[in-house]
Amino acid sequence: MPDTPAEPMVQIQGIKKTYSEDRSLFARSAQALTAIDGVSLCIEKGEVFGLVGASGSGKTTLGRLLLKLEEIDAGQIRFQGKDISGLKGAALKDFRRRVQLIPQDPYQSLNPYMSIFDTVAEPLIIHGIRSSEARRQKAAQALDAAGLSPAADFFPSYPHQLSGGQRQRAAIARAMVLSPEFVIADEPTSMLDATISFTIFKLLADLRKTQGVTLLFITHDLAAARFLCDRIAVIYKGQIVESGLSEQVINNPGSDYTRALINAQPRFSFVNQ
Amino acid sequence: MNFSAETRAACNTAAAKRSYNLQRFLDGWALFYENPVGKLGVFLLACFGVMALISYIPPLIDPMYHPMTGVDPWISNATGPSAKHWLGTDNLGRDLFTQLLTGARIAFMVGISAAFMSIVFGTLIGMIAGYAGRVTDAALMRFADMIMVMPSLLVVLLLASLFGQLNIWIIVLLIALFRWPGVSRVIRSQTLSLKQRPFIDMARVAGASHMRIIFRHILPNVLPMACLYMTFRVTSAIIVEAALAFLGFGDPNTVSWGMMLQWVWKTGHMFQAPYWLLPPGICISLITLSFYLIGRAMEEVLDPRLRKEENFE
Ligand SMILES: Nc1ncnc2c1ncn2[C@@H]1O[C@H](COP(=O)(O)OP(=O)(O)OP(=O)(O)O)[C@@H](O)[C@H]1O
Ligand SMILES: [Mg+2]
Repeated sequence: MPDTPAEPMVQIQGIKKTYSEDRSLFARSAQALTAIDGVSLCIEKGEVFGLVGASGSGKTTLGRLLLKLEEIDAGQIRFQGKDISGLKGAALKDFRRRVQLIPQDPYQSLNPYMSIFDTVAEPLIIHGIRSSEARRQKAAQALDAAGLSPAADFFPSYPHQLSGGQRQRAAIARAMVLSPEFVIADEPTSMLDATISFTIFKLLADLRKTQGVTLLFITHDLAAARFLCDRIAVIYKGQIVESGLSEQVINNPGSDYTRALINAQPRFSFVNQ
Repeated sequence: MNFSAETRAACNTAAAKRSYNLQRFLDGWALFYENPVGKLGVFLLACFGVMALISYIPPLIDPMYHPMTGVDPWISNATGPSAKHWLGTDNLGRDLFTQLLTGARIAFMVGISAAFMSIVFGTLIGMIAGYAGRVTDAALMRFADMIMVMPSLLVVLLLASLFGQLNIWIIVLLIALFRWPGVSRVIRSQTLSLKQRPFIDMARVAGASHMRIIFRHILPNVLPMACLYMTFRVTSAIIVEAALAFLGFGDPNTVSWGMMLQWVWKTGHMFQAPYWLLPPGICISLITLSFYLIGRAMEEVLDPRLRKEENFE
């Protein structure tokens, strides 16, 4: 295939993911639930791509498929031009270094028995950074960049000693410590209050600027998507109903579902009188 | 474990931050110690600990007090308590009090080493089964079921009659081999629920190997439960060893309480010498009781549902 200079970061072609619910002994009808139903997307290098949809529309599932936490049933995912379905061993490890996740729930996604330093330094150990001095330095840099400074003060803390926002920053530091090329942020602020959420959005925007990372930003919040994303796609029941430049999609929604989503945004207006 | 706001603040500001594990341990310990059940268990266990420690002293005072080989030259039959022999002597003239002290040492040795081994096996197998799932899980759990339903005492007796006298360490190993399945079931079910927690996915995303996930992420989270089961396993190990010894399949070179009972029985003093029969019997009951009480109190600390609800009106 032609090696164009600007190869997309991620290309998704017609992927499907079905969960069979035949787990239960009593459920006679083996109901299959199609969580992702023929999604095709292309995420360019260096952009922030928003994936917007209501709860249960398949956003997290799509993220998990991209992270190779689960396998697709049909279609193809290409990361930097290479199909990820057959990745194993060293190639898989290399993929794991390049692609990272910022989790939805900072309370559940840090091991309660690991200190912040161990949490942030773990990817460094896994990917063969032997010298403990180098690990300390990198972990400190990552924590500083994520807004937890002075980093050394947070090293010995445990997750329960931090606030939700601080935990999310620690999770961001862990994701960024290996300088990944592609990061998936799955509703990174859904458990945080509005002001903290805004600082986290600003942090993500900063990281994108300073580190040139490509971001897939998953959210149900159109305002956040508009603030952060270059392009967005709207997902509904496992299908992409609309995609385009974020301003365009939000100002001139092309599908009824998007319009409904925009209208469903809470508006806080103060009644004067 | 509940952390009050002050504890949390203290943790954040204090120059020397206590590790989470230590803090958890201390909080748990405070809760544990509030419980009279736990207190009684610890007190009893401390008494036996002292017994085990001072068991080294009498033979140093006079070789006559050696529990196995020391014989009072003036006594050739079982005698009751006296100033020289606080609990009396057995039919060979050996001092019963030192035998009893040594028995505490053996009980700890057997109980703790057998329990430790069965916990190690049980935790490893439980984590592997729960984490691997599918065929591995099914195979390991069927194997565990098979061992669980085996009449362990009978099998050990059979082995003993096949191979003659068993060394005490072989007995310990056999007890451990028969006692892991219960542990592995509990650890497996904990692992199954831990596996669903997002931090395991985060470890996978970071590229952690299966080994790393099992030992760095799952193990610390199941360790408290494993410790709890250890106390219950100590109890059962001591009972099995005593039963084996009493039935005449113990290690004849060790002085355990079960062996003392066996000697009472074999020499026909069962109903003539209560000073010989009662102390080892009472000790076996009390040491198993103490581990059991400690286990129960620990369970309350570990399982919030069993905890006394102080905060609810
Ligand atoms: N492991 C699974 N087994 C069965 N069904 C699943 C599984 N994971 C997700 N689903 C189903 O797939 C659908 C999409 O779920 P998903 O978690 O991707 O939604 P989401 O868009 O992330 O929602 P939210 O905004 O609430 O996080 C849901 O109907 C869900 O029930
Ligand atoms: Mg989700």
